[in-house]
Amino acid sequence: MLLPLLAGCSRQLPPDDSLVIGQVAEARSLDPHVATALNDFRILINVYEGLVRYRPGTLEPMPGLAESWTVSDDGLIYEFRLRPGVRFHDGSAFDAESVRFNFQRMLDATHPFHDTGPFPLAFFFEQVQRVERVDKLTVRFVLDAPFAPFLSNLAYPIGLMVSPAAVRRYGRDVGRHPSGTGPFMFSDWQSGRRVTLTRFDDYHGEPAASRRLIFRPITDPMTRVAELMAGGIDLALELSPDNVAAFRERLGYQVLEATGPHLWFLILNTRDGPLTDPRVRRAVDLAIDKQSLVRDVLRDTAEIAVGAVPRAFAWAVDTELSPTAYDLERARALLADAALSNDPTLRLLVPRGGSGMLAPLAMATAIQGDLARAGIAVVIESYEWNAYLARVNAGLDADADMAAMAWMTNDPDTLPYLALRCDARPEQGGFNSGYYCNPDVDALIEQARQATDRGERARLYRSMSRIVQRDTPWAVVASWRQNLVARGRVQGLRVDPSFFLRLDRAWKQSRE
Amino acid sequence: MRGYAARRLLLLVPVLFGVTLVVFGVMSLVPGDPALAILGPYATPERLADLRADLGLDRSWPARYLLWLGNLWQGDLGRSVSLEQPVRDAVLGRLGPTLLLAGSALMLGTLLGLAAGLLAALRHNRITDRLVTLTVLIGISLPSFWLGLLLILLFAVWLGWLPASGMSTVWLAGTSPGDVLRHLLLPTLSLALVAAGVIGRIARAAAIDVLAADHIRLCRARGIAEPRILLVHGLKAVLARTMPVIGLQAGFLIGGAVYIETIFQWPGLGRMLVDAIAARDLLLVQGGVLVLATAYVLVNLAADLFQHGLDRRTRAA
Repeated sequence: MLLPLLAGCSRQLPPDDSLVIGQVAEARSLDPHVATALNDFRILINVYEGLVRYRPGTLEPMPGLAESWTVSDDGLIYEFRLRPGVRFHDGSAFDAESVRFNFQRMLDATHPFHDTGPFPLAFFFEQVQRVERVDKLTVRFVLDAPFAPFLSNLAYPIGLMVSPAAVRRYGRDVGRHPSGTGPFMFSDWQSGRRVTLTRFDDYHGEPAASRRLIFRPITDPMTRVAELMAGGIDLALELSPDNVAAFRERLGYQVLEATGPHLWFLILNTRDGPLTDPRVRRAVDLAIDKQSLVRDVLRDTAEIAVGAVPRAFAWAVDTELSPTAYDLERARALLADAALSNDPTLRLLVPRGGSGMLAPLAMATAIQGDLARAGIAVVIESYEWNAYLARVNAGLDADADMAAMAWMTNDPDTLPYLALRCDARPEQGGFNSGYYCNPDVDALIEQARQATDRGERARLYRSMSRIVQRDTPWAVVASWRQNLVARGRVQGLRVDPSFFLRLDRAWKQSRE
Repeated sequence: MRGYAARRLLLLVPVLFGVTLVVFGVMSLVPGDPALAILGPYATPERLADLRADLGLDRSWPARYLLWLGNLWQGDLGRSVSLEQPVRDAVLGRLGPTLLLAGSALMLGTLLGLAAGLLAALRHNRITDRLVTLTVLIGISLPSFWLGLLLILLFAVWLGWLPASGMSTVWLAGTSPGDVLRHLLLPTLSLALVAAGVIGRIARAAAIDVLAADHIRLCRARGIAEPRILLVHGLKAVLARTMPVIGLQAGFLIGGAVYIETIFQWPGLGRMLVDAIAARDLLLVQGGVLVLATAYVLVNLAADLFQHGLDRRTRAA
């Protein structure tokens, strides 16, 4: 009865000057010091800028709001020269005092606006002892101890600069009234529907190519696919591996990918059970068919990984270290050699979903099959994500032999420092849930953290990665390849290993 | 009648008290908490403890429940940690869309259900009855989210007549009623077909009974046409018997439209609640459940009162 009426409706598409982005969830906060989710970062990075940013296509810091910087020989003092003539979207000027305000707000409990938090990632700057204004455009950071990842941390969203005037005006609600110095300024946020950004005409750099960005939260991946096909959005993030594969073949769409600083691995219990024997750990690593996991289960939305440093940190990676090749014979031989008293049954913990976990259940099932072929029986125990973190972060007990885990970091230091050192056991506040301990590894991580020369740091990380591959505290499987599917007429898109989504150069060709 | 309504309204207080107490208790016993959800893999015990203190999660749950009750008394529902805004704003902002969707689905479902039920009863045991009964059965058995996906595929992706999801066209500045209506159509249809199935079955049974009643036989003896008998003399009785089910469907639609809200990205309460549970956002869950439970009780009360009214008039006639 309604059908004839509907037939008059034609397909409605977004206007040419606006890009509509299908995000995976509703944003939590647009205050970069409060936000912790990638979903929020993808909006923030278009609104705000930090002192440094990642060089496009890499994870290496380059000048942002700071034109240049110097580091003292002892690695304790960083001095930044700021870009002149920069204004926040609310009209206030950006200078050394704004930088000081931003860090004090996060780090100093006595700061009048410290109560506009909490700032969950403020520990990224826990080495910062004080921030000083040298002159209007020079700012100095004094650290407690040399901390090589400092610059990468500044490039992370936690280092983005918020307008102090906006914080004073809106207090805790500044996350809903964001004001930065970036190419786009905030215009509105309708809960559950959209966040709209418009081009900032007084931007200090090259003006954005599109007039408007509209971020839509679309939690259901099937709906993101449907919207992309119906034309309601111009690009969609984080589609399922099968859908990405389908769009690759489809005319009129483009698939962009970048492998991130991400590792998906099994934590192996080195303290209790059969995996205390390094030969058995090695056998597990050899028996997992990573090629098939990446190709068949993940449909090329990830690449095989090796060692404790994700390949996205190109400068720190050991190119000669190759991933453990699938070798069932050697795995069986090692198991025979280990002469376990009875055939082992290993318990594998997996979450049902979760940040960066890819397709955990499907992957766990494939791994279960792989290990069965080597003669290792595996029982899978699955948990909801939040409950899972609570269980695994507390450390693997005698009832858990393996646990799937994924990390996305912004510096090669982070993951090994938090999850591989002897002193990073859960009881000590770390994430070494498998209780691996090798003093040589600890020494290398510590030295790399203090080295100011990047070549030296790279050498130390390479040595560390080799030891880790030999000891096999983890069965490292894959690194996630972020995917973005866009309609063919969207130009100037780029996805970065950081997984952020800076869209100032993106624009849409008009429809013929 | 007025006394009855007042008693039922008074009953709302212990019901809500019980519901919120249970939700609070269960949510507090489930492993994981908002601090863990926010920090994710970075959640060291020390940082967790700090953030928990900042968020006021370091007290025992009964203590927090009492605090929540105290604040509620002053109209303060607390602050949502997963949305970084006051719970009241979040819940009220989502209530309108939920009521709109549930209301339109209930209306369409009731119309379709009654029509199907009456038609089947008039053609009792004939081929039309069998066809209608079969269709109704399919309506009940179809998962609404699957139906929703099929509708999206047909009307949004292939035909391009209707938008696939959302409540308004995001690139337009304002929202016009026509635009919202276009977005409302598919989710309403997905929900209404299921509701129509349930209502239709009851309406059919009721209409068959009513058609066998004495006063209807009298009408028939006077030579009044069958459809006219049913619509003029029997409809009230059928409605009265169907009303409790319609009331239950209303409650179900308000609280149970979660899948449909997710698939159609409808900015409603159900979807927000699911996200809030995953984020262990206790206060947001509490606020949402409080509003949903109130709506549920009120709607059922309205249905009961309506039925009362119908019954009287039926008896008087």
